[in-house]
Amino acid sequence: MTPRRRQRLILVALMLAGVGIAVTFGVTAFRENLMLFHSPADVAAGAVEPGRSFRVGGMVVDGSVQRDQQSLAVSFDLTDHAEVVTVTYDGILPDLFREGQGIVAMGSLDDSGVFVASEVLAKHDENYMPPEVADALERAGRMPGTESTFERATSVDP
Amino acid sequence: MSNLAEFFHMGGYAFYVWLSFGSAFALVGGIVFWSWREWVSTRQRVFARARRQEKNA
Amino acid sequence: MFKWIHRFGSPPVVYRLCSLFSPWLGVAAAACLLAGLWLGLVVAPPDYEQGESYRIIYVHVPAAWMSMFVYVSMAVSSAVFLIWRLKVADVAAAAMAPIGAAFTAVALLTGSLWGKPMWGTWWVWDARLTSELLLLFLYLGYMALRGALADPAGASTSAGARSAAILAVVGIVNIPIIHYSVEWWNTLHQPSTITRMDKPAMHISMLRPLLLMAAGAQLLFFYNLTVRLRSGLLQREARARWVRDLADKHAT
Repeated sequence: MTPRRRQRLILVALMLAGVGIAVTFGVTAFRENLMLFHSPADVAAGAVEPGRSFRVGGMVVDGSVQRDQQSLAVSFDLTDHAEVVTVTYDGILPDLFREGQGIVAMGSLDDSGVFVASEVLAKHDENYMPPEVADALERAGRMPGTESTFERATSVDP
Repeated sequence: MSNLAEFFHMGGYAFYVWLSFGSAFALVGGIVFWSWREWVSTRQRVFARARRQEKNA
Repeated sequence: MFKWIHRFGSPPVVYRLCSLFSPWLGVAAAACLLAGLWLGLVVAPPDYEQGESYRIIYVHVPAAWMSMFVYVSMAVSSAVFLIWRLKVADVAAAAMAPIGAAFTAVALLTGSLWGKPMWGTWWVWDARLTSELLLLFLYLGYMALRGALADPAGASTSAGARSAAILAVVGIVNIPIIHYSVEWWNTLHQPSTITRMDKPAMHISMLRPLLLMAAGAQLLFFYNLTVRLRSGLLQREARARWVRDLADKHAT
């Protein structure tokens, strides 16, 4: 390698290192802002004041879904296996919405601590299998759950 | 025949599934086809000029 | 130590290699893609949760993988060009950009078409989707600087080629961000299915077409590279001795 090429190699490496460090700092600084949603534990810890709009993510608690017979209104509990938040929503739910499913809701807390959602998004897991296989796993009690998706608490300082 | 209709229906997700495959075919296939045509025309042009120069030289 | 770079950087050698491999790559790509489409659209069973809509994975995931693979190749090629001032490396990087951008656009578009029925939204500004969009802008920025869309050879030694190469090299920091975004942040996008350390979370009947489509996309990229690289080299080296020899051989 000629000295000139070595010089250019070092220059390219330095440039890359500089940009890499800058981006690392930027990303760490804005880590919280880049979080798409808060967990129910955050909400319970009082991370968000009532009226401010934010996203909450968790799993729909089994047996907690109550649908209004006359309208599209629905209420359900959302959990991260630590805390529970009750969510109310009036609108069309995504196809994947069901009990035990991970979802992300956009909205705000009312004064009584209920989350009033204006938008509900379903979060699906990384498992793909034919229905028969899913049935067999279900029977054997070895169904891979969506729990893993929400086990990371997003600890936010109040 | 109903089997074929069912296939194209994609369990009600026909719009999303076929538009996905279609757009992928159009975009990537378009680039591949366009690159090939460009190569054919470039080769023709560059070789013709190279031969002309050969003759003049 | 780096002598081999110059041997492989010789335009006629690269041109000959491209001509040699091009037809095989094209045939292999077509075979993999056709087999993958057949297995993925017809043979593979529907998903237990997402029904038939999950079949979008067969274009979405290969396109997303390729969007990153092509970018890394382009960045490495650009770095070689910057350090060794190798013409071939510059032509190669420029030749990769359009299909890389196409793969990225397909990943974004099909992701959107998948997100609407499954998540309930076309788009959400989560870390994964945002960083992938940034990747598209990096490709478009590279092509704009390089003028690569118009012709793969472009203005060779111009400042444009060099600044485009710098953009490509620096932009590589976005690649780990895309890959790890689903682990570093809360995202709506699910974590990766295939690269999990234990075992892929996908049934074999569904995984096989996915791997075939991924191999097909990979081969298609290399096929396209052999075609575009030859255009670029011919344009750049139009007056070279080896091109005249080739023209003679072509005529007979």
